[in-house]
Amino acid sequence: MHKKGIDRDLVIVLTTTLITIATWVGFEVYRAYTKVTIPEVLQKHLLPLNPILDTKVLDQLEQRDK
Amino acid sequence: MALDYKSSLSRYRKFLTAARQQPLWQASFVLILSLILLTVLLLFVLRPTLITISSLLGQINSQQQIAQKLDAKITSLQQAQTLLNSIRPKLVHLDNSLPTTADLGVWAQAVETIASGSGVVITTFTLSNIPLSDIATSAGQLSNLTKIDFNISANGDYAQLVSFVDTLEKLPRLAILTSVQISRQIDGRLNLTTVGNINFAYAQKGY
Repeated sequence: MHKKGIDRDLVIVLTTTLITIATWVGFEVYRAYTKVTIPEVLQKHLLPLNPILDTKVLDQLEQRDK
Repeated sequence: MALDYKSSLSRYRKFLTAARQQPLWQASFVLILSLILLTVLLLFVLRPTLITISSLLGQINSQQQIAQKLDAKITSLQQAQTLLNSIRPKLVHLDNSLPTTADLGVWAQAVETIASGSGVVITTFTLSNIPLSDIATSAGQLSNLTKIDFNISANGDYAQLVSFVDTLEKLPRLAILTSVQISRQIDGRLNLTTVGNINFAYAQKGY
């Protein structure tokens, strides 16, 4: 009976250890997938550029000079 | 010592044989060893492999996003370049209105010319906040306009003074008139006092 108790406890401990380790590995894998660092130099190049120029002011200046 | 060793070994063998014959031990022994093996494989074999694979997948994903953003930026730059080429002839008006240097000599000469053209006599011509250099010494100077205040006093008749102010406003270089006062002097002549400012934008970086 004593041996039966030890065996059962050992199985439970090992099972929970396996589950814990599997969960930990899962989190590590997810963290490795999501953690991506972009170099600072490249961050500046990735800033969006607005190609629309305000030409109304230039037209007004042109009219003014005429 | 040898006898002790042999007797211990035989007793251990008997114990293992007896234990192996226990049905519960037979069942749990395999299970326990399997669990231990799984744990070891998961920790030392699967974990580094999975982490490497997931980090590579993450890098591929981020590089694809970077490529998309760069493509979009290239397209925007091409559009901006096309638009800039189309309006390039008009940029000279911008340079005339808002130069990149103080150019006070040119502007003062222009004011004198319109004064003589209008027939007014300039009695006072004051410029303040004159920058010492046309090279910016701070980021603030580069990003903001630099203002130079002026104060012009002139004498003449009403029509001449109005013509002078009108022409001053229409000079190619933008002049902002904040105050225009016309007063009659003791001798009956009209006196004009104009206060305003002109601006320029630093283009050269000196820091």
